[in-house]
Amino acid sequence: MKKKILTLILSLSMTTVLLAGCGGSGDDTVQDQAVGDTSGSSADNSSGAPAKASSDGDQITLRFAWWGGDERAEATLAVIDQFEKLHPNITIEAEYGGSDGYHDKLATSLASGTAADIVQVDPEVFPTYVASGDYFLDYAELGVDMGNFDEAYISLEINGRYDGKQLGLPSGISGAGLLVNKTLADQIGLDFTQPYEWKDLLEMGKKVKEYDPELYLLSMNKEYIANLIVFNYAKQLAGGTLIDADAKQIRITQDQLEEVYAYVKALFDEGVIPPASYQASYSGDDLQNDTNWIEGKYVATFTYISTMDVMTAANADVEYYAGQIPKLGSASEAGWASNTPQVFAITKTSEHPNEAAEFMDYFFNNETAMETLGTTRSVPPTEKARQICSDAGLLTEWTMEGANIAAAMGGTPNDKISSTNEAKEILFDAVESIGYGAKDPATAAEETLKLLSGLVE
Amino acid sequence: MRSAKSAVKKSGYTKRDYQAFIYIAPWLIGFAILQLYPFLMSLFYSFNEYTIGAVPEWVGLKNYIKLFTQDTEFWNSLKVTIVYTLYTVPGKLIMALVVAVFLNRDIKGINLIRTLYYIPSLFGGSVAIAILWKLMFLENGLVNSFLQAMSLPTISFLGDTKYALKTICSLEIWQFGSSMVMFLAALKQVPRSLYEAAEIDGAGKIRIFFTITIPQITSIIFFNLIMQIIQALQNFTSAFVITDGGPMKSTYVLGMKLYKEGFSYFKMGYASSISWVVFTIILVVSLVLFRSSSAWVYYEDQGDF
Repeated sequence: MKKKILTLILSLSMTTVLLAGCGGSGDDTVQDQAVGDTSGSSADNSSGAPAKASSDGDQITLRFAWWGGDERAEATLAVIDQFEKLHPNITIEAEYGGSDGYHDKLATSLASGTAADIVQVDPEVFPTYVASGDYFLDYAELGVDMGNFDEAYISLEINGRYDGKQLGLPSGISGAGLLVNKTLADQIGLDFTQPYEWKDLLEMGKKVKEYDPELYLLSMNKEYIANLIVFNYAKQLAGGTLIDADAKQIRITQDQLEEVYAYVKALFDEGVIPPASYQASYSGDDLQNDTNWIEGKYVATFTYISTMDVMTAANADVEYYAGQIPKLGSASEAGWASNTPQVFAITKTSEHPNEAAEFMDYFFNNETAMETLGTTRSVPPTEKARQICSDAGLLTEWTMEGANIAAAMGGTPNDKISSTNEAKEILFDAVESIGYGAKDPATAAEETLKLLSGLVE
Repeated sequence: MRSAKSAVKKSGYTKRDYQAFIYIAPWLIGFAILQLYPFLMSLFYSFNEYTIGAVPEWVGLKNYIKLFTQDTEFWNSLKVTIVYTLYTVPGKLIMALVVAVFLNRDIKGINLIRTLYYIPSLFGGSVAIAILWKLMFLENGLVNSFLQAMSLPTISFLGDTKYALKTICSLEIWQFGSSMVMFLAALKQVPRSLYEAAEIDGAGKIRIFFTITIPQITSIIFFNLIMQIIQALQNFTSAFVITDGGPMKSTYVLGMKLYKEGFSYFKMGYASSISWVVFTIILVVSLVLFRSSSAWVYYEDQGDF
């Protein structure tokens, strides 16, 4: 009898431990799912109604997901703190990390209905989500004050307005730029403040090599070569985006693409950029970890305005400025486009869309928030925020310069087909094979077009 | 006694036997939900065109046909995966066996040494270790610094297509500890009498190793072989973290291709079909090995169990 009781107690406690261990997170997801269905429909009903005051006394938890570096995390967490103090009944759980794998995770969580309440999304990936499912809420319906935004800016599809619905809010103004190591550039005698053409970079590269063979003109990897050099040069040559997404046709011709690839080959051959085998170790958004950059062995780098500060932080011993970005003399299409670096969206599965909207309202419209966020997501999207930041001296000069240069270019953002991961991968592979000398520009151009046409159908 | 028991027992299960199901119910439920269901659903998805978030569209064998005839990356990935397996599995087994033989002695501190060799295998598919490996083999990383210090030319481990795959294999081979421990146990099982008899007949150490030791432990070799082949064919973490499939797709194993297709390009149906191809390969290899095992594997109890 005693043995039986003992066995019973032991097995019960074992089962409890097991269930407690895996039940914790499981319960939340099940609950979220169940409540998510009902809140989805209630959000539809509240059309036009101003944001309701959050039910006092009810402890509400929101989940907010973003990617970015440490500075961005610090600033965002500070804003969350400020908001939580003003709304003691709302707690916001921060879910942040690096950009690597962020969208893969987001895609899965959106499909399974477990995405955070507020999510930061890459504006080039956002169209894919909007097209594949009804995941996001319309800010206009939630009553968020969008008066501070420039209507011309937020009405762009790439900045969040799809079919008249404001599904995303732009977090800043960004684009690509050239970050120049002024100290080194002055030593060698290179000047990027005047407009120049693509071929001039080859000349400058030679000059750098003559000065010191250990140095390179540009820090690059295959992703940045494709995204920043290939795309923009190609757009300028073709007179528009690589693919005409509406007409379902490829705009760029094989000869034009061959010219671009020949240029890339020249960059490698003339030693303007480090060899492909060296670049392999610093792929993606990893250029700031390149030991050569940290040691100041590169004169400049093409980069995104929103991450210029990350690059300068890696090597803080030298001076920087934002240089001009190259354009083909005769081109009608400027190529270089500026749009938001991220959009913020509220997911349909959020249990508390009104509170989420309140937070977004605070995020974008409150002056303290604007000052705290500073330029961690590039140049702020609202005039008010830009003023506050430059008054507070938060906008680093090179970020402001870079944003102005990019905005002045006024190129067309990439079309939605060539900005998909699959299309970009085709270009990354082509650039890599040229870098390793495995394919010559003509063959690579032919193959790229063949693969791209498979995507356009 | 036996016949009496079987006379009482009717066909099927007794009440007592049903109790067993209750005890293993937690595992059964977990298996059904977390393993069986996804397994069958992925087979279903492989016959559909399924973009994440949209509704799956039945397309029959289109994914498989596209995979085998139109996708140039697939054959490369298949080759890479097989080459990876061919490097890793024998490498791991041989290292484990050789080190186990060396450590099969009773000197002071032998347990500590064995533990040290075992520790790497505890890390499994750890991302942190993969990152560490990557840092070690960078152009200006640890290993190249050693080479430079010894006045040898540096090698671009991660950037050279000849070396990238071998670098990843070395991470896997470094984790031979778990196999080594199993071999140690098996070595202890070999009857001393066999060794003594061989020594009396004047056999050399090498001869003894190949004619006595190895045949006696073939069952453990077989086990390790199967487990490691299955693991190697599915490898993903090291390729993803260390080289991201590059350079020039020379480390683009099937696990990586499957991940890219499913999560970067959102083509879940296509990714599912790739995963089923991997599964079929593993299944065929395992069956072939099992079949052949009767020819070379020695079980102490003559395989009755």
